[in-house]
Amino acid sequence: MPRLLSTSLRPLQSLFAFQQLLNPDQKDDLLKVDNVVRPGSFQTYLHLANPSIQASVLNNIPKLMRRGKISESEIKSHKFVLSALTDLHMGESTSGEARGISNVYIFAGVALLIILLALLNYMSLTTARATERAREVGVRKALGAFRGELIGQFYGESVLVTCLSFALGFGLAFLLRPIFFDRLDLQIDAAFMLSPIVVLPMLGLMLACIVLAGAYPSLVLSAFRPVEVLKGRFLKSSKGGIQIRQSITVFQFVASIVLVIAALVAQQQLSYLQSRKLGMNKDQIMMMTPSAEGYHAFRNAVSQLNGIEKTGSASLALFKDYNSIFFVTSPINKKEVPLHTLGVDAGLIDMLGLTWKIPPADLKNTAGWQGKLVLNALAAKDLGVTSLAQANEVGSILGQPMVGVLNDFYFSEMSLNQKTPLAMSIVGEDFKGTLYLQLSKTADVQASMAAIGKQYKKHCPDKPFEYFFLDESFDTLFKAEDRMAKLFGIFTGLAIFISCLGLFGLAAYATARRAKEIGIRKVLGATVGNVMSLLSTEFLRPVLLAILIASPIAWYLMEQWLKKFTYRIEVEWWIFAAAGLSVIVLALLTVSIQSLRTALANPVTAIKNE
Amino acid sequence: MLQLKNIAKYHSNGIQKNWVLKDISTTIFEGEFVSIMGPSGAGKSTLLNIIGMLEEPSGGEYYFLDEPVHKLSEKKRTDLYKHYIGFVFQQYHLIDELTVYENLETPLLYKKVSSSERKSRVADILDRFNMVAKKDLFPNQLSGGQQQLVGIARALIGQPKLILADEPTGNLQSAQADEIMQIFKKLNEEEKVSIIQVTHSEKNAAYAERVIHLLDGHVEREERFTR
Repeated sequence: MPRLLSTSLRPLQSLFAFQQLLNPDQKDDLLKVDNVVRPGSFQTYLHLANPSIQASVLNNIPKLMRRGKISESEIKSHKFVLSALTDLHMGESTSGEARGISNVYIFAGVALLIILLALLNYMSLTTARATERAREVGVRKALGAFRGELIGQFYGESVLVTCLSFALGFGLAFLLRPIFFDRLDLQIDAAFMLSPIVVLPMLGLMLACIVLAGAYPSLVLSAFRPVEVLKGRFLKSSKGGIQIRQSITVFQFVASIVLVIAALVAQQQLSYLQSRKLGMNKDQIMMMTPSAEGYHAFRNAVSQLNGIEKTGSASLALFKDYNSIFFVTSPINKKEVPLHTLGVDAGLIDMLGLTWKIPPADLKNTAGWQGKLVLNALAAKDLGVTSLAQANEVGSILGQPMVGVLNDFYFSEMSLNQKTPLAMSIVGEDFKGTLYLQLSKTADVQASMAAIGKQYKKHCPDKPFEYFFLDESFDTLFKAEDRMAKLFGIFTGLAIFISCLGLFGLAAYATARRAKEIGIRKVLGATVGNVMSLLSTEFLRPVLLAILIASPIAWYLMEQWLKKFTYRIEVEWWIFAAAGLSVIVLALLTVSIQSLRTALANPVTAIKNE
Repeated sequence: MLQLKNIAKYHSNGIQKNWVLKDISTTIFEGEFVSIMGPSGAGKSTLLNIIGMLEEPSGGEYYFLDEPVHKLSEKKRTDLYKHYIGFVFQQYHLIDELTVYENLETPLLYKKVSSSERKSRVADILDRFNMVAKKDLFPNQLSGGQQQLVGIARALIGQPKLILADEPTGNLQSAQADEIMQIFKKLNEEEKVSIIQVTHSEKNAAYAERVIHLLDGHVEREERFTR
């Protein structure tokens, strides 16, 4: 029996998640534990002297195989792929698709964008508040303050605000960490949060924020000329400031709208991936791997049970285990095709409800299928097979005759993400792989499970009763993406909130600036409705502009993102409309408080304020 | 035209009532030209605002064209003053962001006057005040006197029965002030527009037929000029 190792030494963020460590010499012991050793589950790690020699290493592998007296045809049928361990760690699979790492970049990008939005808000609001501060600056200057001292004062304020918010942010991150990591199903050591890799960039970010947040306000505010300001002429002379603040608002809404569209598209794509037709039935099916000794007795016993509709068997658990791949050169079109392999019995084909593209000569005689091959439509297409005769031509190379060609169905994580040619060998009654049981739709699941468990204990007493449901295994494949989408949604919400705060500030400033004008208009007979629509149009203009700018950007970004998917949606116009409309509504709600207050104000007070 | 009965106005700070106007009763007839005089803080502007329905009196009754203003809803009041009253201010109160033309057009927009009618009325009034050449200028490109002319033109464009002017010449030099007063007089005599103006200047007050002298919120005395 393999020796158990304590796992406490393993850092949580390590790529290697294991429960046991085994010496390769103990492989035979492993075989006693599990009756099926899945080929391909052993990966070889090479420590290269330097990354640039990858190509020569790959070239040398066939030579090594020849030296090991492996036949030439065997060597030809193998392909070797090298992946850097760091890439694997960041989520790249051995097949070369990199989804994990791009998520890391996406979230880092979104986080930076949110900080930028907040910084812009700080700048925009400080300068907008300058109307109040201007007098203070004027008085200070009149009292003899130098510009440098004023710059120092405003920088001091940004240092204070930034440090406070970083302290608060870090504290919150530390407190909310368990919830956050739990949501994302991440495991990160607490110590990692305080390691220099995390703390130093945070400090750098804080410094950058201080510099950026302080720069614009301190330069603008300190430049006021005291006489003008004290005479109250400041309001009229700040046209440039208004434009800068308007551009900031436009930028903020561009960012928000891009995020909203991205979130909608991502959501669409994910639900498309999950809800597309699988080409097979996955409901009410459970999978388990009974021990070899009791396998047949158990299968016979449960197939007699009430509530068990069908039984079947396969070499692996669909949507859970990895298929092995072998490369075949088609005798028809001479193309080299990577075939995924799977062993199934006729019962499983029936249970999954798979349908035939090129049906077997004798559909009823399932016993006659044994030891033959079945292709899926993709494999048939890639190999150039259009008839049963051609299929048998391919079969002759593989040493097994063909039964027929099945219509495509999704059977593994990989097949969900890319077009995957499949060759299934039909196994017989004596096969002892993963057992599939289909419960009848009317069955009392709990009672059936209890009955199955009882039989299991009777026939396979030395292996724990472990089982999975096929539909749950399928759903699990999308859990990570679902969580990412949810998190992205939260980030989007945050970005919108910050942008609305910015707009709120802008509205407060603009209505204050226009209070007198509104007063005059009211005296001239404007109603509350007139004033509201006047102000709302003004605030809607930057938002509309932002929609115009954001739509093509979002379209481009999401096209790039969707390109990674073999099975993908098209970005539709209504997504842009929905994003635009919802942001417009939010923006209107944001400014309506300010507008309404101004519209309802007594014009006499506004006019008197000179 | 309008009748005030025991109009009172106070500001309350919770404990104390701060009386601005007390017991003001007077009648102003159609076609009258009335000046309101008095020292700072006598309540002149407040009285004018009450007559103009921009402020509500704390007590008393106010009839405008036989409508009981003190009982009307805000919407009705707005309708009433939109149609019958024009305002002229000491600080002109033109909208800085709009041209002369647009400034003149604004009251008509709020009265929902049709586009063609607006065009002809603005053209008429520009013509009458000799400002056709200046129609595309912004207020800050005009002299004080010219701005006030625009202010008066804007008050008149709605064809009001009553003009309320709060120190219309307060920011102007005397020659310009005379010109403005002449316009008021002409309007009053030739077009029978009623005018109530608040003024500090004896000379300008004398353009009116009647002067109401306010002191500390009550009518101190009235004098009449015969023309």
